[in-house]
Amino acid sequence: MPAMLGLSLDVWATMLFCVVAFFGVSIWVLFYTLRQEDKKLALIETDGDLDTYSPRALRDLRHWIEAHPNPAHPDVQTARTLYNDCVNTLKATDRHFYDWSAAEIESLDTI
Amino acid sequence: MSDSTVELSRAQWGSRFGFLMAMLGAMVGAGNIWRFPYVTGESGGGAFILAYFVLLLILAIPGLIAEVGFGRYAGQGVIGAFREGVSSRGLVGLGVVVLVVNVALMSYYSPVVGWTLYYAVHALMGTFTAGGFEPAAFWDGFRASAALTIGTHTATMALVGAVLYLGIRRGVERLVIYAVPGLVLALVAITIRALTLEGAADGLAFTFGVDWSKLALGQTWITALGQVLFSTGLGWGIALTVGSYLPDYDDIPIGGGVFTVIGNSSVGILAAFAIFPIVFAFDLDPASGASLTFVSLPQVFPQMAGGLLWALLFFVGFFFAAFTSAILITEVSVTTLSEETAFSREQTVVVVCGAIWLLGIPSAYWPTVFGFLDFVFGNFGLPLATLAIIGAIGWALGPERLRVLEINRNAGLYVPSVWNPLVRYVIPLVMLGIVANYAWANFGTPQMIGGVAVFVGVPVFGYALMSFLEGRRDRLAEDEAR
Repeated sequence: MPAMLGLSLDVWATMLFCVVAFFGVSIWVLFYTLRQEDKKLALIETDGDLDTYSPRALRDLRHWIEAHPNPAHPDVQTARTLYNDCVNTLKATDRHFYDWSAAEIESLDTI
Repeated sequence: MSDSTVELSRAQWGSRFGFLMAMLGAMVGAGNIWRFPYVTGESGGGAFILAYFVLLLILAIPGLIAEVGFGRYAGQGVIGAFREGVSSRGLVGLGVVVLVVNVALMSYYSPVVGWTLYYAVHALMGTFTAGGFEPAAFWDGFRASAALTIGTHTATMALVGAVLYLGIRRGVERLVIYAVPGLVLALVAITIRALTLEGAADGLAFTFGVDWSKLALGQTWITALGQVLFSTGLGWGIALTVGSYLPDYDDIPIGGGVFTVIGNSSVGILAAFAIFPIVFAFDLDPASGASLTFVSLPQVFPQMAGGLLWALLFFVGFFFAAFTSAILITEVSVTTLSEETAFSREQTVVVVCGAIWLLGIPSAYWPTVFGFLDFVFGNFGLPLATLAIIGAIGWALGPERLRVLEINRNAGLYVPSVWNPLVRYVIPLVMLGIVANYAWANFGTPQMIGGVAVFVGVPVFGYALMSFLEGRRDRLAEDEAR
């Protein structure tokens, strides 16, 4: 073990980077995503439904729907349903998975 | 049959943890343990890790997010997914390309898993720490015995078939939730022992020492690209298949992308901490690849205190790494063919595992066949499959459509629109560049000719086959409608 102390600074720096950027991120992400799943399941159990898009993601979805007015497009109806379901859920539930403000929810309309 | 009935009749992962472990188990393989630490040490250590990390962020994570998203969007195996994503009948044949590459890959990977199985069994029997054990003679004797090489290949495919026969939840998920943490724990235990060996610091200095000049070399970046794209299994159809079993409320970007990529790389880094201190402490050749694992390390375990335990942990962990990948590689064909044919899942498992077993016999028996297939499919077939999947997402389905409809739905991490050009342009160009580089470096050799034949011939075969089959299917549907 004393030989370890003789390792150069760049070796220590690389090992530290690996521990933080790989092991640290992996473990943190694992717990973070498992906690998120618990939160989703709790919301489904208590509220019976779950908001499916974050504010930014829902804006993107709306832009996509507006850019594809052709009803013959294979995914337009699906996109409208997803959008409307999310809006309806946000309006019908008190607690949300994503950080939605009351003003943001108020400003939403179905398509 | 209504859509809801279809969804209900298709299996899904029982838990988030099961999905995450399936992704990790699929991507962590033999290469993480014997290749990554060596490539890192040879290519500039810390400088290489930095290049590797950057490429993980801009290529592997976006690519895997796309592939898992495509799988959940389609909710089907590779051919069904291409049918959903492309407009031309013939282009559905790109799914056939992915299938052919997976079967070919598994045909020569199964014998390798057989090697690890043989060594794991002998580790359990205490062979490596018994008196008079000769590692080189043991390895040579094993490789020279058709009964043993074909026998372990047969046992591997039988075990793969048994797990797949039980289905996604009772088979695959039940295995990976124990096997993957088991592999990580085995590597952690070995790391703790390895770092206390006299001379361990040399192994760490080899792998993690920084040579910044290597960052200026194109070869370093090409090597890092190869490691990033091949070790993460991007575009092989595995992530697509695993994603097709993902429930609607689950997240894709964190589980399918960030965790899979960084977690997979973490196992490679952990292997560097676990194996290379041992390699240097006992003065072994770090460049010896497969023989490092099967010849050199077995020499070392008897010299370590508690060698029986360390040999057991190492070889059982190594078997888990290889076996879980084998399960998920085979699952790609099982999922797809059970959907595309009249066979049940159980019948498909028997047919697919039987076919792979038969095709794998030459690789198990003749090392030259193994080497040829490994070169051709490793360097040309896998990039071809990646191009097929990422190309279909980027150019037929459209990345923006996938991003807004699927990837950002229930996501734990918002994926911005800058992701679109990465999928549409950068990943396909990088894959083409890697293939061109291999072809140029091996110009005129039989392996290069074989590789180019696969690269051109398999898509032509897939296109012709699916043009015929899809046309027939459409005609039958029209007849039924009349």
